[in-house]
Amino acid sequence: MSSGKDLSRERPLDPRQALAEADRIGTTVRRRIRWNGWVWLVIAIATPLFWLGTWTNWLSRPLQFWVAVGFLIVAAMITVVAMVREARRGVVDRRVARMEWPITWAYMAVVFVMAVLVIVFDTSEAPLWFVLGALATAVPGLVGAWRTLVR
Amino acid sequence: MNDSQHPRHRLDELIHTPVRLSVMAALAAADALDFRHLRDFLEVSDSLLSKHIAVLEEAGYVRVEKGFEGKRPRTWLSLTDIGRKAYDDYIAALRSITQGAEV
Repeated sequence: MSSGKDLSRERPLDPRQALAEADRIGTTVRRRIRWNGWVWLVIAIATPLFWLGTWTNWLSRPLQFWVAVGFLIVAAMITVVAMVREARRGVVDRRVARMEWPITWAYMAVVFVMAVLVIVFDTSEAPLWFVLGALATAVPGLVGAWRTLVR
Repeated sequence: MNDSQHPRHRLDELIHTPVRLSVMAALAAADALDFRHLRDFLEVSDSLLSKHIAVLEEAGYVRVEKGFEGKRPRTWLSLTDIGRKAYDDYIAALRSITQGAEV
């Protein structure tokens, strides 16, 4: 870390190096910001698959088990990678930071409602309300992915 | 071609330093970036980044907004329209120079 540096003593920039550095930094920042969007997309895809794969009789018991295990593995991987990235000098974009919590709360709310419904009602035959509810749990993630990846 | 037409004369001296170029390149790729994270990302000290930001802010290239994100204080840095145009022109000048050198 270069601390207390005199501004006038910085080395002169070669145009080729300057262009390469500008490209490198721009690409890195865009990639780190977009990473949040990819996470939301994975969550949007994995969550309905979890509901439909484990709370209906569409799949056999062993397959239901592996869908649940797969969902837990994806959730654990996202958590670990997010923690590592946070520790490794991430960049925080205002647009992404401001929608992070509203989308997280919206996601938790729809997941909570679905969790209550699947406990109260029998969903083994995959009634329409259940399928629609499962798809609804993807909406917060899709909104987050859309707003982050399509700028 | 006389000297005044050479692309190097279009290089903005305010941007053409390592740290300020890095700041401008990072901000050009985002809506607004948090000061603390940008400092860590660019591996510079608080004071050095502050000095460069002050220069860019004075030139009207960078906007500094202080606020809170929940309970967390944030200093958001973003490019102004003037700053974005200056950066685009600077990159275009760099491309002219490097492409000219390859011919």
